Amino acid sequence: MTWANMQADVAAPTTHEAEIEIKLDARHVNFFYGDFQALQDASLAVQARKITALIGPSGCGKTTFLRIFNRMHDLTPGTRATGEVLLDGHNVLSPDIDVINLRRQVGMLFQRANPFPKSIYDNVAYGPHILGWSKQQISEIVEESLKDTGLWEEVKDRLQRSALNLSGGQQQRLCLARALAVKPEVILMDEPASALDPIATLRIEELMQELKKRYTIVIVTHNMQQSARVSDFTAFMLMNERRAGEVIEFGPTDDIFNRPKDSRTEDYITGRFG
Amino acid sequence: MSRLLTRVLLDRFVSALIVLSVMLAAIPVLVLLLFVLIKGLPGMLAPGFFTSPPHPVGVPGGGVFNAIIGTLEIVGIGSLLAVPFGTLVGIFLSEYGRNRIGDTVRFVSDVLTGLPSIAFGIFGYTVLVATLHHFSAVSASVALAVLMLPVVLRATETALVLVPQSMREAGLALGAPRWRVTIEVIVPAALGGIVTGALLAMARAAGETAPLLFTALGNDFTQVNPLQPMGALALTVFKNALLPYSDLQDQAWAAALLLVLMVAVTNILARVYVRRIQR
Repeated sequence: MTWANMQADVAAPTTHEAEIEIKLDARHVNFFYGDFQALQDASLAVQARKITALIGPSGCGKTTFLRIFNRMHDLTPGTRATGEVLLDGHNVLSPDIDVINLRRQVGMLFQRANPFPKSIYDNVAYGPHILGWSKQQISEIVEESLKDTGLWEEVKDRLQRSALNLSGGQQQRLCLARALAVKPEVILMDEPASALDPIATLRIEELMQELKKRYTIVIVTHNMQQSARVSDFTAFMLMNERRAGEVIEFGPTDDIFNRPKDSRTEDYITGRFG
Repeated sequence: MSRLLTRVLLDRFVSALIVLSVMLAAIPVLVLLLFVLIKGLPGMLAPGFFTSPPHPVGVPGGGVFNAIIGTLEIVGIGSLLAVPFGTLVGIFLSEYGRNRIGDTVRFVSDVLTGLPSIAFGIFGYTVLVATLHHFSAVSASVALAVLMLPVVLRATETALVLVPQSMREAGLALGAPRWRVTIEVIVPAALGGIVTGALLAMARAAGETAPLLFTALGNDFTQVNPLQPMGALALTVFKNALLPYSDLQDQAWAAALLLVLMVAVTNILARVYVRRIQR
């Protein structure tokens, strides 16, 4: 699939060309763990204030792809990414980009809730604290972020208690609040609900619908129903014969699930493998 | 039926084996503690044990005040040298030490752990006593600090390595620089283990006798100047236990009991403190 027709796929469901704003634009990304190529020629145009889902079987490189967007792969020694990932037109893979600043703009929610072993308040305040905001500002942003994630009413009386006493679903929403507190533009979610029960999962999915009014969201999920439920666009990924992940098909979620162009997408969607 | 019976019997047998092993491990420790308690209590309750320095042989009364001060001061100065430095090296090993330098430090530290404690005494003697031509408490502190160092740094490293990687990623994903994540998130998360390691090292240092023999030397008078020879509880035990006077032998038992109690109390206090700040 070429770059040009992928853009066409993206453009299809919206009404006017002019309204499309590409927030994050991955172009021909290759990724290597040492000598092993884990991603091959992966491209993805993520629209602003939409939810883009990456689906595919285990090991197809979805998480690897996602972690390139905020350079989390830097933390693993011996990894290398080539190609371009443009955030508002600036290549985040360029060596002279400020990674600290990039990660402020592109926040992340992980597979397992990973609150710091600190109080609820300090968890959300940590990002703003790093940025050197005033106490007053921090306390406002903590309240705002907790309200945005629907946690405020549940925790406002015990902000100084340890975050580890919260339930799994609450912890994940706390992590989301923590990410929101530094005012990111993009939020990357790596199977954020895979460790949660259906009710907590539903809360996260409802939140995503709220948040997409203001944020651009990219979510990795192995759960096809989840992708169909929450996302505006879906990219289907698969390992090729050399075990490198590829983007097989990318387009509006409705098209991917109901009118897949590639037979491999159809096989996966209909449950014939994976 | 017979398979079920075999399974039940096997389960009972293995459970019994485990209980037996626990008892075998616990009994010697409990017996030892009880023994020290019974033998040490009379000496400890004797008047002046806590408050006065030793009296000359044959003069009743007399205590280990000089040795209590000495142990606290020698171990205290040693800890001031070893704990901050060891903790920093431990942080380096865990967070930045996945390389040649880290491996070298780990190797040296493991060798140091295996060294007989008298070697640390000789080290203190050569480096400080011989050069200053004077036995001194501070030379004992330095010897003990070197002895504590590997314990502190490996305990710190182990505690930090146990902090999940996801915690580091969470911090970095917020746009925090790595050093701030290390200091503000990872170290506090591992504080319990770090403090425990430091205490373990202090406890071991407090109980060591051999490194003090050629450094602090011992002193029957109460001395607080770290540049002078100084008594210590471990030295009191070592010296008095060999004397043919029953009241001084009782004092040795009491000094041993006091050492055990000091270590136990510091441990309990630190645990309570760590639990409180982590809540």
